[in-house]
Amino acid sequence: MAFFEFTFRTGKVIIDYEKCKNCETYVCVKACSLFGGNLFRIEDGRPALIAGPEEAGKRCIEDLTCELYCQDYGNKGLKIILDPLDLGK
Amino acid sequence: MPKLLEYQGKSLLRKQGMLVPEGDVATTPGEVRKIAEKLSKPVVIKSQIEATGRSKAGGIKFADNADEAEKIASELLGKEIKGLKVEKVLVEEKLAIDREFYAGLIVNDSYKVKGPVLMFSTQGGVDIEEVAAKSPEKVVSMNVDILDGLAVNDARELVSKLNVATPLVDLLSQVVYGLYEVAKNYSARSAEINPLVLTKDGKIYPADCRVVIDEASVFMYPELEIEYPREIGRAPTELERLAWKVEEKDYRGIGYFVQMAKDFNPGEGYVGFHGIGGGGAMLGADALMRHGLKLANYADTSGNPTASKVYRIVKLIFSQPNIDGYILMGPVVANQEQWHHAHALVRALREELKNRPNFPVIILIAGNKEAESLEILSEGLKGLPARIEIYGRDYVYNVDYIADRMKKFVEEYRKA
Repeated sequence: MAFFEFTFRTGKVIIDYEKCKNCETYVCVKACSLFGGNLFRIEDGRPALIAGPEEAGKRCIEDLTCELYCQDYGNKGLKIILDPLDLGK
Repeated sequence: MPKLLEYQGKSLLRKQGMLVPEGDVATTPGEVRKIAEKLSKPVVIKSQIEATGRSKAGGIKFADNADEAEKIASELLGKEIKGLKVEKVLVEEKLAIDREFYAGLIVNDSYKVKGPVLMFSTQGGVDIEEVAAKSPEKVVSMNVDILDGLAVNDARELVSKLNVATPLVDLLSQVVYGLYEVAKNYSARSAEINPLVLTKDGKIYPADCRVVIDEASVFMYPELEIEYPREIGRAPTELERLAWKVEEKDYRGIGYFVQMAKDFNPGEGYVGFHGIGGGGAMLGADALMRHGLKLANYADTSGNPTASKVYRIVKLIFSQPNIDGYILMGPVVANQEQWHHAHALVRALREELKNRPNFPVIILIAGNKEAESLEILSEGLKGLPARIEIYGRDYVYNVDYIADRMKKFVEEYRKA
């Protein structure tokens, strides 16, 4: 499974496991543990949810840090897609 | 807080089993005519706007027949009264008034009360505050214990404290009790029947009704069809509607946004304003205006909102065309974890500032996790082409300095 995703109240997290392969920072897991709801653990060298996706969706506090730190210090494999606001032009 | 219009409040009273004047709401003169024909008696035509003092402002008119009602409706509908456009009118039978009373409820947040306070007065039709000030002997009130609730006997006891003829006590108590039930069933912050009318044939009617629903409870009552529950005294703008969408189903912290100006040009000194901490933020807003800047909007993200909520509010602020700067004014040592704001700002400002060279940005943020937040911000915003300054708790009491910096930045930005 190259991609993994789960939804939270106002958006979703998508992880590209291909990009996680050579990542040794696990910065998304650490950020979630420090700033967020501690949703991840490291499994087979990549982030995996501690509980199921439904539980993770409920526990996510939408701190946005898994993405921020992955993009800055990790392998850019994790993205957060927030439900769009229709801002028009 | 969302205020229900008179006809909506009265429909809740009717649902509660109260006697309400016969009539209906209309949006066209033709509909008004039909309602008046159906009633076939003298009618009152009442503008449905979120304002009091409608009568003096010309928003309430009487008609003796359907022709007259239609003519009056064509004058009222579309007219602006107290800055609000009349889109609906309530057409009701004209009441033959013998006497006017007042019944009201307000949720008192004071630590001594922390619950609903019921009020009753033998003088209706005027502001209850005015009656309480001039004739306190005509107003009685009681605190309701929310665990015990209110019984009709309690309402009777309240009404009986004033000089009310015995046959009326029962009728009035039923209304006071019914009003309490309506307020309870719809999570009202306040509910008021003023005037509560005794007609010449001995019946009690609510001649007007004002119900204000708790903003955080709106989702529980979809039947009220409250589209925008903020109290801004005008129709919401598109951005304000979007901001409410952010808040509507997510009560984790506050994400408030209201537009103060539209259609301004670059260089007019309008800044996107983002406050933290209610009163402190207002002091900051005042300081900006004292220094000659103008607010394009007023936003507030307090109460420990999620980073996603803060991010969306920042995006809304930046979606206003022609703003000359952005300021996060948090002149309070807040107990919310400020790093959620920091992360949200990094995400939003990276998206918004990459194509805005020298765009003025000032961030004043203090409180819980402040040191970490300042570091997240200074690291996360590094390399952006905008002109960014970040301040912490040392400047919480120095909003004039912050405002002065913003003014200087804005002037230099538009000169460049």
